[in-house]
Amino acid sequence: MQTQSLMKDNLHPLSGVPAAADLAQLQALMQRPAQNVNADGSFELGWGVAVLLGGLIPYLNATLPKTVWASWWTSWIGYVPFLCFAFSPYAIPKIIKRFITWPRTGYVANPNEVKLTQLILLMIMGGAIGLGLALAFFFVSDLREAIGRSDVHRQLPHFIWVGAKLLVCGIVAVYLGRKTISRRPALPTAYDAALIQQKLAQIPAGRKQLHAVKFTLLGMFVGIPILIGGVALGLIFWYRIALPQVGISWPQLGVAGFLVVMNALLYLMANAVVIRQLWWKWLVLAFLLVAPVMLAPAIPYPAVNSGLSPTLVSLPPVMLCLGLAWFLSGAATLAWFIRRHPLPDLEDP
Amino acid sequence: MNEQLRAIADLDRVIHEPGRMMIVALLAAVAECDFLYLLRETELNKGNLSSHLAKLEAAGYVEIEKTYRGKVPQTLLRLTPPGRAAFAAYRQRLNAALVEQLQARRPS
Repeated sequence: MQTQSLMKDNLHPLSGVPAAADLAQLQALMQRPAQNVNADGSFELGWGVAVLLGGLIPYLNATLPKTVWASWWTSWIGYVPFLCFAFSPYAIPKIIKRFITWPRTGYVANPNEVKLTQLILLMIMGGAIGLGLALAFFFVSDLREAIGRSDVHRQLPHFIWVGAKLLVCGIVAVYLGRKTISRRPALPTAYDAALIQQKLAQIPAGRKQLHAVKFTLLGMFVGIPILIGGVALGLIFWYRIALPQVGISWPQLGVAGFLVVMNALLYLMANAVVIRQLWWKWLVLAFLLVAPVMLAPAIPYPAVNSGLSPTLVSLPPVMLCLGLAWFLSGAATLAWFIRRHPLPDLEDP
Repeated sequence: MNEQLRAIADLDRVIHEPGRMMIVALLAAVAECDFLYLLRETELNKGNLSSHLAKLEAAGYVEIEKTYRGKVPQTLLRLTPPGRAAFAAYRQRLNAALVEQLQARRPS
């Protein structure tokens, strides 16, 4: 986008130009740093690696011998992919920006970026919530089983111990939740919605405009989820029709369809700006929606010893296809970005 | 002077210049950035950008920090709290001008 061409015409309200044009230009400028976050494909690469690892971990579980998990000295081998899976969406974009993007286009720190300490605290909180839910589930099922027995008092220490662990998980989750999840300040915008709304409400024509805006917003909030749900359902039925010979159950198709639609939506959001220049990203989007579930039956499932429930067992091949598409798209975007932005021959003044 | 012109006349002259408005608008949307980033985004030349930044620094709107990234000099730029307040006031005035223009279109 040519900034100067954006700014050169009709800049001064003094020249008789409506202030709306100035505000629109101002808004366009203020949105640019956030819009260009994924211009280098860094998010796609980070997310692609995470999804690929997410798909590979069940295969790893299926192939690693049980003895690896039994010893403290060897179990780290199993945990390394988990850590890489968790940190790659954060670390890979950081590394790409540090060594490739910033030397070319200049350093920029966007507000509201998640810091590493925040990420770790959020992960600990997520772990505490997950562990707490699992403990609560087992606690309730053990309690139901024990109530019918005569020796329930013998299991009292066990229940106290599980209850204490549940309490610790709850305290950790609440404490870290209050510490990390705070309402972030909204990014500044050019428009003062409250002022414009207040003034428009005083004019009959303005009231009509406000009604139109409200209906549009309502349509977006209600219509977009309905549209996404419709696309997901349509896809699931289409998968079923297209794959009659393969024994994939409806729940498996449902989970896979949900994952595919969420990834396609994320892809569209991440590439909302750059997709206008890179037409082939529409093809990647179509591939993301159609191919992973269609190709998945051709990839062997890690059914044995993977630790996955029957509903989820079809996910790893789908995730591998999704992750590969994200990764290749990110790599192509990064190559395009590097070609378009050569290293500047620049001395800092 | 009518309300519409008053809203325009009250605009902050330090910000209300195309080059400086670009700089302040970009800085308002980020936590901090360096000279190269602004150079790329504004498409101004180095001299113009330095001159505008010096004016914004003199007005207390922009903080300029000279540092190094490895052995490469780096000029970090960020909007100061008074700079953010001035830009918020500037946007407020533009919004007021917009509202005045909207009201001026009211059918009598």
